[in-house]
Amino acid sequence: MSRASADVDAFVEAQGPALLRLAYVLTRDRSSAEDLAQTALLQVCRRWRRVTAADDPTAYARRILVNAHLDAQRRRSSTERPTDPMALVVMSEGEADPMSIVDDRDQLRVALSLLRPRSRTVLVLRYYVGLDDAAIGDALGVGQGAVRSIASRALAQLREQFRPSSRAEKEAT
Amino acid sequence: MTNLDRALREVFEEDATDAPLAAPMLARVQRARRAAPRRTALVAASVVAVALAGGVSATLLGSSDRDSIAETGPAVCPWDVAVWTDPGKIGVVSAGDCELRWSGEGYWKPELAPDGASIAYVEAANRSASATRLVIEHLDDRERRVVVETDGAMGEVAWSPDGTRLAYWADSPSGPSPAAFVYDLRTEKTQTVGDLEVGVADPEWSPNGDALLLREGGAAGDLVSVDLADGSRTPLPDLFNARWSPDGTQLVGTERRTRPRQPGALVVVDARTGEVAARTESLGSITDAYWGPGGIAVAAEDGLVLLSVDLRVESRVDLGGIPSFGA
Repeated sequence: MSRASADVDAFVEAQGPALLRLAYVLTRDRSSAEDLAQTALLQVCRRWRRVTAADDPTAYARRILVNAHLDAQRRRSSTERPTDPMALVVMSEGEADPMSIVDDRDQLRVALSLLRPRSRTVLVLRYYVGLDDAAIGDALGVGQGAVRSIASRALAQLREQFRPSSRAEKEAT
Repeated sequence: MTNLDRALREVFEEDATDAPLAAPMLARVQRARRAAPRRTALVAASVVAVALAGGVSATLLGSSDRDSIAETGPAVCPWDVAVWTDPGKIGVVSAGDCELRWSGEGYWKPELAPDGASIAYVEAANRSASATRLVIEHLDDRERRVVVETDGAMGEVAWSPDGTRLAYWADSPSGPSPAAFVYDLRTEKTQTVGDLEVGVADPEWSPNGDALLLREGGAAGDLVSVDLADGSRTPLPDLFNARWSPDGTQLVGTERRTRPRQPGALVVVDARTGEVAARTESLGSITDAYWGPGGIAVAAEDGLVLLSVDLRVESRVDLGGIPSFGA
């Protein structure tokens, strides 16, 4: 086995699980997540020399994965309709109960699902992967200013639609 | 950190724990990786096989490759891709996973770089109705580089074997007929190699990139080998479909027929002197000839004929018709 081939193997084994988790967080669909992660890893393998010469392979794989995800979302956008946002307001009203934290998380998931794919992706990269705005912009092919603007609008939309229960708020503080 | 920030982190972390197990996906990736070199080798083998056994190269590709490209007539390229052309359309398919890597419309004369990373093609330029330009485009990021722009026609692009130069013909700015040029991608300089007075056609690189085979005077003109270092020309016998031997010392082709219906002889020529090294008329009509690792493969009227370099018949393969080379 050549040195390059061994390096590729090591990269796939080391980064594959994390890329799959990222793909799942982005898609919330197991088969789509596997497809995305596989696509990204194979692209990196195929272009290994070029990638390692000019880029961080992990960032490169993440960029491929994110853009493949956004492309797929664009293709689906003409056929799928989001949940009615008003339903969330109704869901957020009412007394806190022992399951409220779980409910809040589910509610936040619904609120996240109402965001535009690019907005949701920015939040995933910021809050799950922990990237700064520059790295997010690099992954999405946009500038830092655009990232800040997208994130700001997305968070504002979430604040409007997601109202945590009082108990969850207390626990959070 | 706000409540919302914290909640987002928690939700995403929780989602991540629901992700499917990585092992099956990783196994598929490794299987695909292992399969890619085999299929790449298959495509490479098909080049040899096409040269030695005739037939259309698409039949040697996988079924999904065939579905994609057989209809439009593929040319198998040296690395892991196949390129095909349709009227005004170009596509590149990775043989490793049948992924469409690149496609475009409105282009012609596409030629894939030897490393499979870029494609060179000619497209219409906007500045006048007849203007054309030669473009190199990277397959991965589609970065375009306009190499040459001219007010006239351009065509027959050929990459040097090392991928550092491009030979092409174009309407000459200083003469009445097309001329051959070589553009060096490293120096960004253009060298004129054809005869500006009589025009040229079909540049073909020698295997080491030191010389170009040209037909001065257009498609029916005189065949010459031009040394790119000093510009010297070696006149060659009038061969059809002349092709370099792998070591660049010889050429094989068929002689022009002297009378209608008379088959042209198969000829091997010394590329340095232009002298005929071997000649045979015993094969009847020949449609094409290729060099293989151990000799020459000829598509003849009664099938495929394999010959030694001195044109002795080694074996014959009946393919049920006249074979045609696909690459």
